[in-house]
Formats: sequence, C-alpha cells, structure tokens
Amino acid sequence: MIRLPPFEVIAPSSLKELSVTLGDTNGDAKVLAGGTDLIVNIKQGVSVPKRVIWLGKVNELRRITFLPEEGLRIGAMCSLAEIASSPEVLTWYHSVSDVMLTIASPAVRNRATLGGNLCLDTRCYYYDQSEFWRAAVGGCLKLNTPVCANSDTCHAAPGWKKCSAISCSDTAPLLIALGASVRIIGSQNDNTLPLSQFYVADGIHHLNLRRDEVLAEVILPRPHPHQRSAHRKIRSRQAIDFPLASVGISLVLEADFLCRDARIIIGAIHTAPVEALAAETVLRGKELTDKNIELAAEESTSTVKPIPNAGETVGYRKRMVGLLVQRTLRELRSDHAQQ
Amino acid sequence: MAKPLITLTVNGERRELAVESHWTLAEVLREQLGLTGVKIGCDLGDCGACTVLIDGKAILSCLTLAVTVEGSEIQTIEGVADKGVLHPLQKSFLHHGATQCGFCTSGMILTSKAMLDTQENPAEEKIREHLSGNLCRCTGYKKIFEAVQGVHVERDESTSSPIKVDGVGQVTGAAQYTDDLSLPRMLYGKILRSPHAHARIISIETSKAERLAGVFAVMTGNDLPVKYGVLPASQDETALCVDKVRFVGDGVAAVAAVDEFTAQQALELIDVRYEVLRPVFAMDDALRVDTPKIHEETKYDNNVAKHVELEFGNVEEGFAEADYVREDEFYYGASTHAMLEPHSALASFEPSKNSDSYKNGYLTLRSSTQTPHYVHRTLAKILDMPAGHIRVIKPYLGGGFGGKSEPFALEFCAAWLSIRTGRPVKITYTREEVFYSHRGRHATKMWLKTGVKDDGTITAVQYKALLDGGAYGSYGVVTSYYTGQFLTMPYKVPRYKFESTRVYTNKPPAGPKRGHGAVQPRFAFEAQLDRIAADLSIDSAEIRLRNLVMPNSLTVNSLRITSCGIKECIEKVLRASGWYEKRGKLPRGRGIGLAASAYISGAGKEINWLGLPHSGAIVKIDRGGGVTVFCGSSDIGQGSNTVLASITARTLGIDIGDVRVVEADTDLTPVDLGSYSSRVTFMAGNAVLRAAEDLKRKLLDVTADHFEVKSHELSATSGNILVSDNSERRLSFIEAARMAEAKFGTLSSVGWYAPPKLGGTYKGAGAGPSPSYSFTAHVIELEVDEETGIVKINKVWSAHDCGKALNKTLVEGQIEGCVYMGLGEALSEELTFTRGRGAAGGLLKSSSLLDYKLPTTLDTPPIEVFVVESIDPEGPLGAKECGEGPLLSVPPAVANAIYDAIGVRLSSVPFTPHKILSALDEKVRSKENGMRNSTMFVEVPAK
Repeated sequence: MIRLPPFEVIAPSSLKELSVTLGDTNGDAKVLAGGTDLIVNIKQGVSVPKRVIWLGKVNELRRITFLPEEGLRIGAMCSLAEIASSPEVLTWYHSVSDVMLTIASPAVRNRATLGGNLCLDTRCYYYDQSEFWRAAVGGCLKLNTPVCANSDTCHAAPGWKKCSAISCSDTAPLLIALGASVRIIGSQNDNTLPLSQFYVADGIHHLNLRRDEVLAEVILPRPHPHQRSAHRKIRSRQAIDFPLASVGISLVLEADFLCRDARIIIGAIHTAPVEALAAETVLRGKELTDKNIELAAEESTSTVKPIPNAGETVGYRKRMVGLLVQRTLRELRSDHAQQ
Repeated sequence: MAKPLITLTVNGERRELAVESHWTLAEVLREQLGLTGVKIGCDLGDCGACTVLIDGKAILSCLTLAVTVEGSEIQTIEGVADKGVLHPLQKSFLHHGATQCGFCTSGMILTSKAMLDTQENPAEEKIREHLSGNLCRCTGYKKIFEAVQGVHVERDESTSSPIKVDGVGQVTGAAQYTDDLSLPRMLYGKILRSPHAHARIISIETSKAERLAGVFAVMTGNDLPVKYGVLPASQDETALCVDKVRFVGDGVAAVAAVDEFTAQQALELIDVRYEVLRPVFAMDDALRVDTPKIHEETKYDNNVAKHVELEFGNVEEGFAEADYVREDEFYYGASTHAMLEPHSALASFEPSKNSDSYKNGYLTLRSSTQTPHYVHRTLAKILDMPAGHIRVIKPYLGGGFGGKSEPFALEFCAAWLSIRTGRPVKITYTREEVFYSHRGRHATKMWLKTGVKDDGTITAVQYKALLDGGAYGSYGVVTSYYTGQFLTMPYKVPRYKFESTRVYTNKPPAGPKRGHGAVQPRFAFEAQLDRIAADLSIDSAEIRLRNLVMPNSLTVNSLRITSCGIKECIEKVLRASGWYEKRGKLPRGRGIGLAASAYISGAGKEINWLGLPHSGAIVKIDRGGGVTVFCGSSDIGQGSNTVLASITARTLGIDIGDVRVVEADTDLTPVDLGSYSSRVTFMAGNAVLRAAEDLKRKLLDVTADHFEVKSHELSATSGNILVSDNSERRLSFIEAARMAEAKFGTLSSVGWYAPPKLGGTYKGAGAGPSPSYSFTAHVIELEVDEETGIVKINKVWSAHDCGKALNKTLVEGQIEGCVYMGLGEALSEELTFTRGRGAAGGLLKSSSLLDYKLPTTLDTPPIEVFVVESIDPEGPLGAKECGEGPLLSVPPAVANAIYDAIGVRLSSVPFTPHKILSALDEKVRSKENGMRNSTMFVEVPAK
C-alpha cells in the first residue's frame, strides 16, 4: 500500500470553531472534505500537509435548504449522492441532481462533497502522477511552485510560463451557468461571491480562496419559471473518468423559443471554467433556431484552446466543445417543445 | 504524540482502536483488524476493490482516513455471512459463477448489497450503474449481474454444488492472496526505480539509507548479478539492474524495513549516479544501426532482439495464381493485463543448521505467480542454491492473463532481503509498478498480402511484423514465432511466408498477454479478409466459410488440427445474430461484423526442451473416502482447481465436493509448467485423468473380484462402483477403496502428460504446434456516433469450440472475460508514453487504472455465449482450451462492424474516438477508399 506521510487531523465541530481553527493554523493546513481528491494527492505526493482540517463534524455544512425568496442553499459537506437524491434539488434544479450522478463512481459520490468538487485540484497528465514519475519527468510548473520558482518546464506546452492544468469539476460549469454564488468563511471573514469569480485562470492557484478560508455553502437563486439547464460531457468511459470536455448551459426560453437569457460555461479544457460569451451573445434575445445553435456552437469552439495535457487529442477536445454545446442546446429546445 | 482512540463498530462488533491520524481505513481494517477481504487493487480510488460499507453506504476505504469514520458502523466482506451461514448474495455469486480470481469480489458483493438493501429486484441497467465504480478484469461482468439479479431466486441447494471448489473463500473474504499474508517479524521491501529510460549506472550510494532507523537491509544489482530470462534463448535480465537501466521504472536497488513507510523513505536516501544515454523509443529507430544498443551482447548491430523468416510453399506462385491480391498495413497498440491483484511476494529464509552459508539454508517464497515452477528453477539459478532447498507456493491469485507468468524482480529481491536479514520479507507492487512490470501485448506494425481466387479461395498469404519488445526478452522469442505461425488457421492457406522482427526499445518489456502473439495478426487478417470480401462482393461470412480448415488436417506450416468446430461456431453466431438480415442492412451508424480465430491448447514443446512431462499429478484416496489431487498447476482465477477436481470426480464417480485440490506448491505438488498458453485443462487435466484412471482400475479390480464379474462390466458413478446391468450389486466408493487399499497398499497414483511429437522439421517448427486447437467466432453489433467518434457495442455473440465443457459455467466465464478484454483492447486500452528524447520522454502516461481504461460495467455490452463441443480425441474427457482463444477475433469483429456502420476501414487498434473521426474526415476528403501507398512499414534490414 502507498503509505501517507504523518499529519495531524483537526476536526472543528462548528462554523465558529472552524473559523478559529483556520486562524490558528494560519493557512498552514489542508482542508479535507470527502477526501476523494485530497487523499489521492497526498498519496501521489503532490500535497504534503502537516495539518489537515477535516470539515466532517461541522454540521452547518451538511444542510440543504430551499426558501422561495432566497433560493437553494447546499452545504459544502453534502455528498454528491445526497445532493442527487435531495427532494429540494430534484424539485427545483433537476439538472443539478443529474450532474451529480455523472461524476466518478457511486462509491466516490457517497463520500465526495460539493465543496470538494468545486475546489477540485486542477489536473494535468504531467502532474497527476506519482512522486517517482514526476521526478523522472523532471518536475513541472505546478509542482515546483512555490518550492522552486525558477522552473519553466511545462511539458504539456513547452515554453509556457503559466501552468495550464485543467479545471475538471463537473459541477462548476453548470452551477456557474445557473448563477450560483458561494459563501466563503475565513478566520476573519464570512462573505459571498459569484461562483464565476471563484476561479482564477491559473493552473496553480486556481481558486479565489485564501489559505485560511474554506468554501462553506453554495447558493442557487430561485430559478426563472422558463429556465432550462443541463450539463453534458465527453469522457472515455461511462464511469470513473474525468471529463475530456464538458458544458453547463442554462437558458431562459419563452414559449416561441425566444431565448431570453443564455449562459454557456465550458469545463475541462482550461484552468478555470470558461464562459462562452460570444456564443451567449448569439443566442440572447434570439430565437433558438438550428442556425443560431450552430453559430453558438462555432463561437464556443473558438472560445477554447486546449493543450495536450489530458486524454485524446487537442483537436478532438476542441471539436467536442462545439458538439456538446450544439447537442445540449438542441436537447433543451426539444425538452421545451415537449412542454 | 499518542495515537487518537477511535470507536468503530466493525461487522457488528464495537472496537476501540488506537490509530494514527494519517492511516487510511483500508490500512486499519487490513492490518490492525486482519480483515484482508478488503483488497487493494489501485490504492487511488479507481477500481473499487477496497469498497466497504459505512453506515450501509459503499465507500472506498483506500481514500478514507480512519479517524473520519469514528463512531460509524462498518461492514466488510467478512461480516456479510451470518455465523457461518452464507448471505443469499454470496450464494448467488457462487451459484452463477460470478467470481473468477475473486479479487474484485468483496467490493462487488458489498456494493451490490448496499443497493439491494435499498431496492428490491433492480433492473440490469440499475445494477450496471451501481457497480460502475467496481472494475472486474475477469468476468466481463455478465455473471455478476446475473448473480445480483438472481439473489432471490429459489434454488434447490441440495443439488446445486458450488461452481468453483475454491469459491467460498472468495465470497467470504477468507481467501488469502499473497499480500494478505504476514509472518512474525516480517519486514516490508520496496524497490527503487530508474527515472531514466536509458542510462549507465555510475555508482549507487546506499549508506544513508542503511543508517535510517528501521532499515534492515539494502541491496543492489551487484548482490544478484546472474542473468536470467524465462526462455533459455533470452537471458537478458537481472534481479536489479547491474550496469545499465533500460526503461523508466527499471529496478535499481531494494530495501527491507520495519514498515512500508520507512522503506519508502529509505529509497529516497539512496543516491544513484547515472550517465544518461540516448534512449530508443520508436520501433523504426530501434532498427537503425546509428542508435545506441540497449543490450550490447546481442548478435545484431541494431536493436533487433529476434528475427524470424519462414516460408511454406512458394508464395509468389500463389500470388501469380490469384485473381485478386490485396496488401494492407495495420498497427496494433500496446496493452497490458491489468489484473486487479498487484504482484506480491513473501519470502522467508531458514538458515542451515550446520553451515553459515545461506546456500545450505532453506527458502520459502509465496508469490502471486502463474508459473511457480519457472520461479522455482530461476530462484535456484540466481541465488545459486539447490532447488531442493527452495519452496515456491502460489497462494490465491488475483488474475494473471500472462502478466505473472515469468519470474519478476520482487521475487528475487524479497528472497535476497530475507536471506540477508534472516526475517520474512514481503514486497507488494503499487499499481504503478505493476504497469512497469508489464509483459503485455507487443505493439505491432504489420504488413499483410493475401491472394485469392475470384470465389474468395485463398491462394497465398505473406505477412511481415515488427514487434515492440520493450527493454527485455521475456517470452519475446516465442512471440516472434507466434505472430506468424497462427495465420494458417482457421482458414486454409496453401502457401505462406512470414517475417517477424522483435526489437528492443527503452520501454517496459512486452511479453505474453492472453492470446499471446496471435491477437495482432488475427486482427490484421480478419480485417483484410473483410476488405477482400467487400472488394469481390462476397459476403463476409461466405468468404470465411469457403476457406475453413478441416478436422484432422495439417496446415502448410505443419500444425496438426484434430478436433475442429469452427464451422459450427460461425454458423451459430450467424444464426443467433441474424447476420443475413443485418449485414449491410442496418441504418447508418449501426453495423455488424464477424471474425473467427483459432488458438493453442498449450505449447507442444516445453520452454526448456528437456523432454520431461509438462504436467504431473498425484491422486490419493483417503480411508475416509476423501480424494485429494496434488498438482503443480496454478489456479489464477480461471478455475483450474475446479476442472481438475471435476475430472477426478467424474473418473471415480464421486461428488466433486469430496475432492480436494492441493495446487502450486513445489514441495507438495508434482511439476506443472504453469498457467500460461492455455495449457492447464488439456495438460494438467490429462495428468490428473491418468492418475485417477489408475486408481479407478484398482477400485474396479477389487469390486470385480467381490462380485465375481469382469472389470469392464462395472461402472463408477454416484459414489458407487456397480455392476452395470444390476444396480443392486454395488460397493460404495469407500468400501471399494478400503478393499483396494487392503489388496494394493496405500492408494495413491501418479499421472503425467507430455504431448506427442508434433510439428514439422524446419528450424522454428517447435513454436506453434499444440496437441489441440480451439476455435472461435464472434459477431459484434455496434453503433458509431459519427459526431463524437464514440463506439457503443450493442451486443456480442460468441461461439467457442472448447472440445468438451467440463464445467459450462467456467467455460462461459472464460469466453465472456475474453470478449471483455478484447473489447477493451479494441476501443479504450492502450499504453501511451510521453514524447521527447530528453528526460521527459518515454514515461508511461497511462500508469494508473484511471488513465489506463479498463471498460466499466457501463462500457461492457451484453454477451451471448455458445459453447461448441467438438470432443477432442486427446483432450481430457474431450476438453481443450477456452481461456485465451475467444479474445483473438474480438478486435477485428469490431473493426468489421465499424465498417458496416459507417463505411470506414480502421487499421490501427485501439479504435479511439479521434481515430474514427479522422477516418471519417479522410473519407470525406477523398472518396477513394482503395489501397494506400505503403508508408508505415519500414523494411527490416537483413542482419
């Protein structure tokens, strides 16, 4: 077995205690939720924490509530499986339940949390490997920072100075499209920001989260009565795998297929979910015709520039972005037509 | 700091445990509580073998810290049976043959149990979804679904004997695999691996590691410098590298320490200085004389490891006689076994009582090996110890598929570290190390030329192959022959010529994987035959039926075919699939394809050419009526113990439940060469049959005396020896056995098997002959998403001629497993490497079960199996091979179905989505779909 290096586990049992713990550890601890990402990273040696703050005892982080005026609040420690079967989620955001059921595998979903999925470490072929493997390849940008800042070795994109490891969260694109915001709790603060601003286009420091902060809650506004949303992805296998490309789309569709609003978020290509603004512009205020769908797909394709740091080819992943957008828009249109 | 105390309820028992914060639940359950039914297959959450239930929910114990489940109720496989009575799910798994190697079984049963606890009678789709994180490498999942669905079906348990004689241990967690074993004072070993693909070792400094507290010994290549290799012709490996490293992951040094973490840390303190050499990654580069040699000692001036050229008849005449000749090129990517159990070896050394030299001591090695005999003889050679002082035992084994069929570094290292420390030493590979050990499918470039008459009759075949052998020889010499020798079946090839070249490259060594050597050329041939059929407007099935080999015939390269059910196999799958209604007639995007194949039932020649039996067995009858079979064969999950028990039980007319099998222990069991080349049922089966028949003769003899009849008037059945025409006159098996013991002395007999003289007289004629060949046909129906390039297999019909099914469930399981593995190779599995010549090149990218894509339950289609019985004249009770052959024709059937679906011919395995899209794009660009110019194949220079 791969043995984990020793570390201490601190388990605060309330938000208040958590806040104190975050202050006490002074940003020197890793936050553990379900562990399905972090424990892998510790086993691979990409994360070597001395202290781990485990959130499992903070009951406030395990709630799902819906208030008509406020919308849906999902605690960061709710497991993906719990969220998938939550009556509130199923009633108000079926697409959110659906996306949960496409992530990894059932046993992972029983343990993995929403907070963990949103904070999922960025991924790259040259990074998500054993310590031995990475040493053999000669380290990389993401790994060497901040230990050794002089490395300029990006194996996926030689010459690049900026790490472009991929944001593979499946929940992020959809939740951003749905206008989610996140509540951040730190040793000194308790604030909310739009999920779209939670991500930073940097493969190393990819979250807008200080080391003494944790993501505590996701807040989804009450859906528009004509809102339709879906998440679709391409992956090698129908379970276990991370996406090769994904989209989260939310539309507000009028009876005559007039698209009042459109949010198209592309995942699994760049270091952060990418909003296909040009594609949204194509659709907003227009009828959801075949032509507009195709235009939106083309615009989405031009929004992304994958690099060879994941499975399949770069060209394939890029092509799939457009296809996913096209197919998802068609599906949402036909759902709409059926009602 | 004191360890935190946590309280857990484990299998209903409240336990207070002191655990370190950083211990995983898997560690605590396996090592602190001895619940070794919790299996570690990947250790990174990708396989599901470590699944346990926490408060009724399936979770992965390898990714869960023990302290985070404080207060929970935990159930492991050991807690599923109730006070010695099996749970219905466990019974159902046994009844349906849902276990093969058993390594995924605890995870499968627990995950299924969690589902069944919340929903009754789930549909198959639900079961697939629920088990989608639990990988099984053996079964193709079919029998697992059946077991879960059939859990509440009433069965008459008095007549339903267990499918597998050793299955109960697998479903209860009692089965002990090598890594589950521990001995008092046991140390843990770890191997330091080379970060360079090709480098000279300048020096290795181990003193810092030796000084680390808890480290007991450090060894390097110089401790065991004797070369070995499973074949006498390629002795090119050492336990650890001596002078050079030849791939990223090659072993350089090893340590034994008090625990695995200390051993891991000690590796980091070993300082190895290398002179980095230019690596050779591409096969074409390996052929060049201006690239560095990976093995200096070879007779070639490039990196050719083996070159074979054979011609049978004059192919040029054959092509001249043909009405149509077609040439194509193909590529088959490297794939690996990915058995769920990582390699593990546990050595324990006992010093000599009257000599200080270790060479007079005694060594016991328990190892996850398919070939205890080869490990045994190689250990004796490397350690320079008498083989009689070495005992090799194979415990329960979690899948092999060829990946454990030769000696491995960890076996020598564990042995040597145990000798050096005087303590038992266990080494278990991480999943990543399993990938580096490899010995899997050779990446192969192929060129194929076939001539046919207008009616499709084959006139000549010529084949060239270039095989990527990776860093060492392994079974590569055999592979170099096998790649060519089997193209003369299952179709008549009157003239045949092949050339094959295996090269060394700086990559993990390739070797034998299920269907050894024959899989790549079978893909090429079946794909080309399909193209020829289309070119000549002959139905794909028809062209095959017109060319079939016949029973009791000889191929042009002198392979002796005896029993042969190929025609029936093809007819069965055509009929069942509705071939004639579907081929060419399904809507665009959907297609159906056919392919057929043949494979050996064991190699006719023993690797070491010693002229000794290939299999030996002892059968012993106890005075209490129990029968024990002792045979060196290795049950690796395929069920060979059950087959041997079955042959014995049928011969002696007793219940299979009264037969015990003692297997794979070089001290206790006569030599069997091992579980490889599909030889066990045929060869060990014949040895056991012979021994059992000898005993039967004695029983009949005393019974004949007793009733004053002739022996041939008696039969042994249902636990009795009876006069055939009068069931009143009978002795029970026990009575007869006692009388026989009184007359003949202790009842025990030996049997052995050596194949008859087979094959031609030409050089190389020893590779290819087998006492019998199995035959297979597959029809595969699929659909291709032309926008994503993703292939969805809808159904597989598979018919296999296994001679005689001694256990139909096991035969089906082998066929289903072959189909599963073949589909993985066809669509998703490939070893890929980082590019570049510098330090970053040559690293295996797919070195985890996340990146190496074994199909999940959701990627595996329904499989319908037909068992064809041709009753082999020399097989035990008519049986022959079924464990490998059914893989061969899977990839070409997929390729041929893809053509039927979307009109493109794929020449490169695996058929990944982007290759399919590129082929479609290519087709749009140029409507021509004829022959391309030869660009892929580089001529092999003469030596």
